[in-house]
Amino acid sequence: MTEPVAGARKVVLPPHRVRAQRPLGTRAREWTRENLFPSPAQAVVTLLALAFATAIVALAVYLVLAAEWRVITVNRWLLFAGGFPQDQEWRLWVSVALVFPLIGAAFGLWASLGRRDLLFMALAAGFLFFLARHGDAGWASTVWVAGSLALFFAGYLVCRLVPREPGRARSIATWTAGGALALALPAVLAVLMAAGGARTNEFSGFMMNLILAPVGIAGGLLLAIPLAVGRASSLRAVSWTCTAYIELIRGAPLIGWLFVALFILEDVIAGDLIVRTMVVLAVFTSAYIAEYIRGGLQALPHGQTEAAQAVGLGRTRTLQLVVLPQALRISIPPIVGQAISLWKDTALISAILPLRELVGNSKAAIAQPEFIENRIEVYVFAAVLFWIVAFVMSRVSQRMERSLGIGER
Amino acid sequence: MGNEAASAAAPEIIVTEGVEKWFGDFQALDDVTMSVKEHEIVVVLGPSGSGKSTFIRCLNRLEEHDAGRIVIDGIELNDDVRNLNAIRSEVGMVFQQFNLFPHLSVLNNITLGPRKVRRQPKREAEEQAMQLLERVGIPEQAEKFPAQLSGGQQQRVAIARSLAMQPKIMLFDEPTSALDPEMIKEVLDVMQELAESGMTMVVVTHEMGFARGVADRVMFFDEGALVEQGTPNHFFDNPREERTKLFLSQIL
Repeated sequence: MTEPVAGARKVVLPPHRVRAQRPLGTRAREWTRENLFPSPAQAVVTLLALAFATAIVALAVYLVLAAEWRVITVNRWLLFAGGFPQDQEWRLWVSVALVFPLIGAAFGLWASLGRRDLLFMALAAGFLFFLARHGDAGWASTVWVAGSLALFFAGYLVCRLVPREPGRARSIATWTAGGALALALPAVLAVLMAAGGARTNEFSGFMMNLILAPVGIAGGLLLAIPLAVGRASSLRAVSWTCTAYIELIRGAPLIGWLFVALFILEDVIAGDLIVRTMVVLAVFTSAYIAEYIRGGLQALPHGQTEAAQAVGLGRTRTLQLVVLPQALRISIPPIVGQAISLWKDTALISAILPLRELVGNSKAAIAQPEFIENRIEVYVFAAVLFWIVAFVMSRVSQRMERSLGIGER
Repeated sequence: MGNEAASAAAPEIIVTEGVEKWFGDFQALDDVTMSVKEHEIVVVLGPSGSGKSTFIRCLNRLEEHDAGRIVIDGIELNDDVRNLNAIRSEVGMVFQQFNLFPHLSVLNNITLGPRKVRRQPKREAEEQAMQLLERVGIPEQAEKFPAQLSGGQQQRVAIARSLAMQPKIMLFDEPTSALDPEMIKEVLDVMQELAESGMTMVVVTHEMGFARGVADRVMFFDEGALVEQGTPNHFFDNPREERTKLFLSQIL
């Protein structure tokens, strides 16, 4: 027991039992007053929150009770890949079948499938089956989706057999899977376009977002590494050039750079608009990622470089083997943030350029006289698709941070 | 201690003449002239800020000296990059903060230099690394990452990493200063074993027991200058200089 401090007044506890005995109405009024309206400022916050909640509930009620989802079921293929040549549709499904086992392998090697992941896969599978049965499509598409799912689990199960402890087997498996993941994007583009496939101006809808964002992120990352290293260079000419590039690109909004793709770049890069857009997205992203990597470089203790030099490693090897692996690891969270940001920014493309990604095709869907009343349904559907992919990216990033032990070693 | 007889006849492997180092207006090293013979164990003492760390960092050019000459095993340290790389692979260095590579396993920390600089085959490098881990007493930690080891274990890995390059000289920059007291001994034991094996060592430390028991010679730095040097017995029992006496009176 603690001794009462001399001279301290005895604290009178609130008469809890007395309060509890009063009528419910009084108690509810008191609670509301104390918790929701204790001061004018907090009353305003409470009312705003109430208005926001009301709007959300109203939207939810509309979506559940009043919305007509036929606009989605009829236009699902338009929204996903509107202008893609019909006889080449199999190329899209082959791409899915190419990517799915890799995702499964990544799960098997670096994570494990939890209940939430399985639920999510079930939803994705449901969406793909729904998509595969569009309009007058045959059963081939459905078979491709089923095959892709089987490949996903096959990739997962095979990679589960790889031991978790570092060793020869594991390093072979991780290098193979890493290499395959790095090659997935070019492979998908090849499958879509090679040997009489689709032309780039036939890309449209959600698949365009799904291609443009990864190209922008991967290209941006590749450009960003030399930029970040160059900015930290002791050669003035190099560091100033990199700094100027970074500040110029970051100084203007993406919309501005999309206009550059439309008007200015045409004289520099002949070829179609979508390629120019890819270049602009990669260049835009690279400036931001370069700054994150520079942050990672600066966060490394100087002792790392010194230790590498003391072992006899030259500048290039020190950078390649000691500094960059650590700097990149530190900058993974902000780089994923930038990736999510670029993913959502691809929704701007149809607003500026005569390209039709998901938002562009959504407009096309509601331009049909039949569905002119269904704007909300279409845009909510598009928003949910964007959200799902962004959410997946953020979850993957969290897992990567945990398994790479960022902040621990 | 045991090498005294041998070192009397041994050639000088480190020679410095009139070395100066400035950080802006601050003179960190003032006319340092000294030499170290092969197989000799030299302990460098001095109050903090006396330039002793700067001095041994100049010996493998982690700091560039501004004036004077430094010759390591017959090669002069200058702007020639080839000289620099030749010297760095002959001179091992152990840091106060260990500076292990946190993204690599213990084994890969040790094999990185031999494989990338000496182009040793992987298996050979790993066999050598395991022998070195045996020597520093922690072969069972080979697959772990540095963050999973105690400070003393990390420093022993750092010593093994330096030894993997088969250096002729080992520099130690306050190797036990960042360690918890109970781990100091395990690192000093490894260093003593290394000294007995005939390695040439220059050690900056505050461990007076090590200086007395293992050193062939003690050097005392103050305000960037080499003030006094001699055998441990001379240095601890009969110092000549006032500044040395003052320093010893503060620490003993």
